[in-house]
Amino acid sequence: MSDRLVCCRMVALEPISHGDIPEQGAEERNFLQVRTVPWPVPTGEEDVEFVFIPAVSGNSIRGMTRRKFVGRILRVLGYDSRTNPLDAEKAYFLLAGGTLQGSRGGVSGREYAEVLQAMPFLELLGGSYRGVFFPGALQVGWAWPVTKETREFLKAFSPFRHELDHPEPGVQVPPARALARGNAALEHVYRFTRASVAGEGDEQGKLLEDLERLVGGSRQSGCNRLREVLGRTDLKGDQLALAIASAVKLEELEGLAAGLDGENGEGKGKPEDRVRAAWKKIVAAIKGSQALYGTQAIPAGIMLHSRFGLADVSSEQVLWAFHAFVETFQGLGRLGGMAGKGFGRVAVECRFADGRPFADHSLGAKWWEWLETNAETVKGALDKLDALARRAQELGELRRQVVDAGKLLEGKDPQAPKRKRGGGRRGSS
Amino acid sequence: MVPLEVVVRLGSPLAYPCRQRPFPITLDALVVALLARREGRRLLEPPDPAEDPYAPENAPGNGVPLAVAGKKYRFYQASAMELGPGARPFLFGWVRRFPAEDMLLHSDYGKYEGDVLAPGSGKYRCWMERLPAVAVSEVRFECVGDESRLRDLLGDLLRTGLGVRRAAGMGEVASVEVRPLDRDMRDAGLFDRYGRPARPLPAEEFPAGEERGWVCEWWAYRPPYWSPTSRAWCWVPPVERWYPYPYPVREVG
Repeated sequence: MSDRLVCCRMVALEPISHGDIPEQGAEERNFLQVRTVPWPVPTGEEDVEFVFIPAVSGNSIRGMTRRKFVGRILRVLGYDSRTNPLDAEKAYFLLAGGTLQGSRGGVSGREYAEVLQAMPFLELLGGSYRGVFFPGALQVGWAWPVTKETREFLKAFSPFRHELDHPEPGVQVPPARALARGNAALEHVYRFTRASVAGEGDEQGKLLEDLERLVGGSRQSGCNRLREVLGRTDLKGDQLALAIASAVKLEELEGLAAGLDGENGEGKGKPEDRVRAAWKKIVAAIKGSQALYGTQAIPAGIMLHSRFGLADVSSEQVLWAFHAFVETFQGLGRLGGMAGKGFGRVAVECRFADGRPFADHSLGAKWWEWLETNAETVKGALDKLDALARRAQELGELRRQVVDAGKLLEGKDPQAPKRKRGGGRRGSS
Repeated sequence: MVPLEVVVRLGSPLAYPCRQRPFPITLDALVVALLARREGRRLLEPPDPAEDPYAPENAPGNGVPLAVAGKKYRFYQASAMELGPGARPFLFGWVRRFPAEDMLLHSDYGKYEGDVLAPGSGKYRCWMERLPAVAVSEVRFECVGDESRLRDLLGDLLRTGLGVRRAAGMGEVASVEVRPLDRDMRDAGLFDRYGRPARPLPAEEFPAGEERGWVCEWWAYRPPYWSPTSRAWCWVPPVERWYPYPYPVREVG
C-alpha cells in the first residue's frame, strides 16, 4: 500500500501561473485569472464559510508529466521525427490519451490483455485508441497551498506532518483568507507585452516595408510617418481613415490589402469606407503578433502539497512505471504554465505515505531497465493496436446489428435519427 | 455483521458526470469495485448474475463484507452516499491541450495523411469542459457489515479517490472512518433517520412505499450499477441526500 501512495511537498521558488476557465458570459480580459477552488473555513463553532483559494489541478500536473514521461519512453524505444517517426495517431494516443470519438464499443479478451501486459505504462496512464479503451490506474491530486486550514486536512494522511507545522525559515503558512480570491496577493496581475514588428524576411516585416514604400519619402521618414499613424490609438473610424488617406494613395492601399487575401483590389463605396476596409485588413495582418497580456499567480514562497496514488494493478512493472512517473515530475520541478517567463519553478520533496524518502526507495530505475530490455516487445504491441481497433470496430458493428434487430422485432425503425442528449457543443470524449 | 457508519473525509471537491444523468454512489458499489480491483478482476461486459462472484445471491462467502437483504430481489444492505453539512456546489472546468511540440519530436505529425491532426477542430481538437462538482468536507454511508474488513478495504480509497475525474484529483480522500452506529438499527443502510429510502429499494420488496409518497424509478439496485441486468423498479433516495439540489450555476473562482 505505502509503495503506491507518494506525497509531494513543494515550495514555490517562482510565482505559479495556473489559469482558470472564465465564466460563461464573463467580461473579456487580457490576463489569466488564477484557478481557485472553494475551501471551507470555520467561522464559529459549527458554521463554515467558503473562501476561494488558489490551487493547481491534478489534471495539469498529470498532463504535463505524462507528456515528458511518454516522451522519454518514445526516445528509449527509438522513435524520432526524422529517422524513425511513430504514427501520429498513436503518438497522440500515448502523449495525450487519445480520443473517444469513433468509438463503437469495447473489446476484451486475449489480444487486449496481451497489449496491456506488453505496455505496462498504458495500464498506469490509460487512454483510448480508435474505440479501444484502456482504463488508467494513476490518480494525481491537486497541489494545495498549505494554509492554516488546509494543513489540518493534509495532516490526516501526509508524511510531512512535521514540515507542515514547522516550515523552513522564509516559507509562510498563511490563513486561507490571506491567499483567497479578493486578496491583493492573488489579484495582482503580472503584465507583459509582445512586440509587433517581426524579423527581417518575415511576412509581417515585408508588409511593413511595403507600407513604408506607400507612405513615401525616405525609408526613415516613411517609417516615422507610418509609426505616427500606427501610434494614433486615439483616432478611430473616419478620423483614422482620413489620417491614413492623407498618408497613402487609396488605390495603392487597396492593392496592398488585396495581396493579403487574394481578392480584387478595387473596392466600392465611399473612399473613406474603402480606406477603412483596406486598413482593417492590413492592421490585422501587422498586429497578428502584438499583444498586451498578463497573468495572476500564486505568490512565491508558499508551500504546496500534492500526492500521486496508484490503484491495484496487474504487475510490478506498472508499479515501477508509477515510480518513474513521479520521478519525472520531481525532475521537471515546476507547476502550471509560463515556465519560459519565470513562472512555476518549485523545489519538490517526495515521500511514501509511511514516511520513507521517495528518492531512496523508488523503483523507477527498474522501469527504464525493463523498457530497454523489452523495447521490441513494446513496439510489437504498438503495432498490434490497429488489429485490436479493427476487432473493436467489428464487435461494435455486431452490437449495432443486434440492437437494430431488436428494434425491428419491436416494430421500430432502426434507421430513425437518434435524439441528441444535452445538445449544444459537445466535447470529443 | 453489525450496523455501521462510514465517514469519508474529502480533500478536494466531489465531481459528478458531465452531460449524463448523475446517480448517487452506493457503498456496495464502492466495496465491490475495490474488492474486484484487489482480486485483479475487471468487468467490461454486463455479467451473467449467475456467474458474477460479487452478486448478492452468492453472499456470504464471496468476500463482500456486507449483509444481504430482500427476498425476490437480493441486494446489499448498504446506503447511498449522503453529503455532509455545508455542501457548496460549483462548476469545475478543465481543458485538454494538443501535445504539439512532443508530437513534432517523436512522430510523423507533420506529414500525417489520415484525419487532419488539427488542434483547432476535428477529433484531435483542444477542448474544455465543465463538470458539476460540490465542495464538501465529508460524505457518509450507513450499512450492516463487517467492521474490520470494511475498514481495510475502504482504506484503498486514499489511493483511488471518490467520484468521477479521480485521475485528475477530484474526490481526493483524506481519511475513512468506519464506526458502529450509535443507535441500534437493524435496517441500517436501507432507510435514513427520517424513514426515507437511503438507497434504491426494489419496489416489490417494499409495497408500503406508495403510501409514504416515495419516488419510484427504473434504477439499478445491485452492483454492477452500470449494468442493465441490475435494474428494477425501485424506491429511490431523495435527491437532496446526494446532490446539491436545486443546483446553482456558479463557476470556480
